[in-house]
Amino acid sequence: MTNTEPLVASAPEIINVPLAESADAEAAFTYQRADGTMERAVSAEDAIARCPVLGKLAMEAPEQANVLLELAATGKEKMKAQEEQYAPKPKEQAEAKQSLNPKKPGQPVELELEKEPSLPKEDVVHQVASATEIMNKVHDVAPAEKAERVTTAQLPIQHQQITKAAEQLPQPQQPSKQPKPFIEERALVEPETAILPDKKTELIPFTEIKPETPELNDTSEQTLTPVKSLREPFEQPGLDESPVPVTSEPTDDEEPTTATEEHPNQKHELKETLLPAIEYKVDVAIVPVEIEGSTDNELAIQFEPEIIEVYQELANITKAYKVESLILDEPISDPVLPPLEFRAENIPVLVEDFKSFFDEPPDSLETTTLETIQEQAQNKPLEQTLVDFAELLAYSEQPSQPNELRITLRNIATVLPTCYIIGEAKEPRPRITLEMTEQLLILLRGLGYEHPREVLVGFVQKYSLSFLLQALRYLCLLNNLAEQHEFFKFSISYTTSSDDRLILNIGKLVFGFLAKSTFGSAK
Amino acid sequence: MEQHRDFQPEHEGERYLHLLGLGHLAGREIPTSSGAIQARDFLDICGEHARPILVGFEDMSSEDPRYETTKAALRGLIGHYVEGGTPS
Repeated sequence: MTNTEPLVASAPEIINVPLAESADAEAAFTYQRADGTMERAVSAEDAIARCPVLGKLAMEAPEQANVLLELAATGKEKMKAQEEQYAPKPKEQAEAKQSLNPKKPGQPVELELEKEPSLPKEDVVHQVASATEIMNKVHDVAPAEKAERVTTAQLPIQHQQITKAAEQLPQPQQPSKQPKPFIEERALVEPETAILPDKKTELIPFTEIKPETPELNDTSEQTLTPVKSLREPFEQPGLDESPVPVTSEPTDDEEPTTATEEHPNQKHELKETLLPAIEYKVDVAIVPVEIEGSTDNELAIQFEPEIIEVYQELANITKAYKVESLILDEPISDPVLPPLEFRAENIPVLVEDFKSFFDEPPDSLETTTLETIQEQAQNKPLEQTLVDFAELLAYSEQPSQPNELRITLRNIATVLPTCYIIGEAKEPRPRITLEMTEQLLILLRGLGYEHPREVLVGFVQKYSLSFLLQALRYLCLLNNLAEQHEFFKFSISYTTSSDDRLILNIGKLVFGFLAKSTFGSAK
Repeated sequence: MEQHRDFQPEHEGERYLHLLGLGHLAGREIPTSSGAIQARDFLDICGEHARPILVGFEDMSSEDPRYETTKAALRGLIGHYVEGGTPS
């Protein structure tokens, strides 16, 4: 039976498994790195922190980690029990299917069993016995019924004749056209559908097919065209690997074509099903790069390759700045709840400088629309587009339904705290994360940039990551004030001002000031 | 608090949201890189790691002294993934 487990669960070599398998505190808190090596967590808290998902968990006390691990262990046991209760084991299914499979597929009794392949084992055995009894009774008839016996003996012959006649019919989907049917047919059909499409083919579990079975070896190459061409890689070396000719019959032509031309990867898929450990083909390549910060290779599965590449570029750029360095320290241990709450001590020093712009006279403000911003984005630098977007947030009326950009800003506000790291110097330093990279690309696409990757990387190269994060913070602030989110709080007093004009002025001055003086000298 | 346990939606994710007092977020749309999903489907994002804990928490007694702190922590974790979406 094919593996139907979800993708993530079937890729243990890249899953970070920080949770202990048992509730025992002395049990190994281990997690697996991308290269397969098992690492032992220092403690339950460490195990939780290293989990890409649970690492965002705010725990009030280290003991809570033990509680969570205990819950996880309990939950896993319960899930396992539920799975065993509602899903029979493959072995049991294989045994049930084996009982349905007579050793001689040419017997007429096989046709009857086809109709009910899903019967429980005892019913199947009963049916087999019933068929056997029928055959015995047929052969044990009185001499007066000799004609019937002859007729019965002719049944296999008639079956073969019918089979041959069926071969000549254009029935590409008919699995019973082969005189030696279901093993090869099953191998034929399985690569196309990856399921058990035929009742007959369900009789034998596919994983138990032996290439050296006499029936398979004795069949002609023509009749085994699609199967043998697929089975060759799985047979022992030394076997005849000569290409199997494609028959001229219309029925056979379709299947070999399907097997070899339209689905060139079926060989590999078929091979996989023969192996006990079936691995999924991962469409998204797992990038074997070291992802710094709190991200792990497991996140590489959740993010598209483009996002990972952009993240790598931004991380490399950030490394080049003298005033910024990619932090490998632990993130802020207590991520804020509700989602965005900046404490004064965690705010970079530059924020306090923005207060000096309180009394600055506001510039003339021009109203704009989102469509205008998107149309002009390609011809404007990103900082200007962000300023225009800030104007839009400050002056536009709140729509009944927030658009995609506002939703993106909410998501950015959520992941912003993870972009600040308190290092050994106890000063918050910026860092880029995969989540933020993903949201930035979405934001830039929403603003009208056709190549957000290049724009984003160029912006960070020019102005640094800190400036970008500052800009994002103010955009989130404007968005929040526009939406009057109840749980969006700032501890900075000036952010509670209701003067939209003042806020807009601050936003514009932030971009202008930072772009011209502060960060320009920091490079 | 206890009423959340009495209400048992059929949807697994929605059931856990109600368990954590976040049932009002069930219909909220969460934009993702692959398209918007509903908050009740948050397990598609973090279910591999969160599901075992949520399953275990579902059986946790409300009289357990650790219940409230654990619920608050899980509420913050799940809220991290589902909040910020568009109200349905």
